[in-house]
Amino acid sequence: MALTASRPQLLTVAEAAALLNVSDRTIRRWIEAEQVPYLKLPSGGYRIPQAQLLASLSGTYDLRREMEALDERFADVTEDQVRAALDAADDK
Amino acid sequence: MPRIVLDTSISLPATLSPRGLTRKLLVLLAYGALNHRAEQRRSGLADLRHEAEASGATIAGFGRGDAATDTLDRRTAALRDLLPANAPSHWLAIGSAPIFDEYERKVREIGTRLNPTIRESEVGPLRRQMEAVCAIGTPQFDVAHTPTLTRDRKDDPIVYTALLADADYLVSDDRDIVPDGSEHHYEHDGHSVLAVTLNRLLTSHFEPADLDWGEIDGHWLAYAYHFSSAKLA
Repeated sequence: MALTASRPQLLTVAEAAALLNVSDRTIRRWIEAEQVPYLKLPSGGYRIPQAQLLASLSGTYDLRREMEALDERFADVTEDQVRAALDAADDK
Repeated sequence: MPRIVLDTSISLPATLSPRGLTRKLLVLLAYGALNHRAEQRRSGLADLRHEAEASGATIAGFGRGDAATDTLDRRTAALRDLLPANAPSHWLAIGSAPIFDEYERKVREIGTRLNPTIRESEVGPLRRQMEAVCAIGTPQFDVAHTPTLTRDRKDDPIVYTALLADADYLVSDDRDIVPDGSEHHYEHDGHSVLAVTLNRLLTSHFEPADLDWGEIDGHWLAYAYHFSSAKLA
């Protein structure tokens, strides 16, 4: 099945900097280090795809470990107990 | 690709009771989110290559994104190996800031009523768990101007999220959201959604109907995620 390509949203260096609240220089440093995705135009200018830029950012929390720790703490909690707590809160 | 919104009557037991049926549904939604995100990344990259080719540009700096896509594929494969062969990979959860705010408010509200009690330091991780499961977000809207849709004003942003997102189902065991027992149809401004109880969703709408829920372990939810410490510097 043929797919129709959609136009990616491409940002200038200044627009990317404004989006992330960093300086133009920081964006250029990331580009030089290939830490962010970018298109280099025939003119020598750069364009940064917004979706891929945002996807390349990541937090420092360990979601998996967080979930495992929560599951360990609440291992014996039943759905009925949670529903009873919800009902009690609603009746307050 | 069925899209569903979970209200707190479902999302709270799903996150706080690892052995329950609601948690098993969350595992499938996380599996759907992984598949969806990997597909979105691939199609986004294909669009970019097409754009670059058309404009004579070169593309670079995708190493981090490619690595992230590989990781998504590995986690998807790991879950696929564990889940029953007929487990669906296309059910997606939809979230919104008002949904997550309401979830967080309820976590705090019931926190002291559970044993063990929920610590304040656990509220953020619990919210992140729900945010991670939701593959799609809705456009921002002003909660104060949400139309009146239910008999409890606090539930209106939940229903409105489902309407705005054109969700197929709003899953709720709250009688204010599903007042007719098992199903209630909402319509507003050209959007519509079917609100259903969890039992009705699983018995009448969920596909495949013969999925063996007993073969799904709620603890597998953690397998959908991994530690990511990479940070732009």
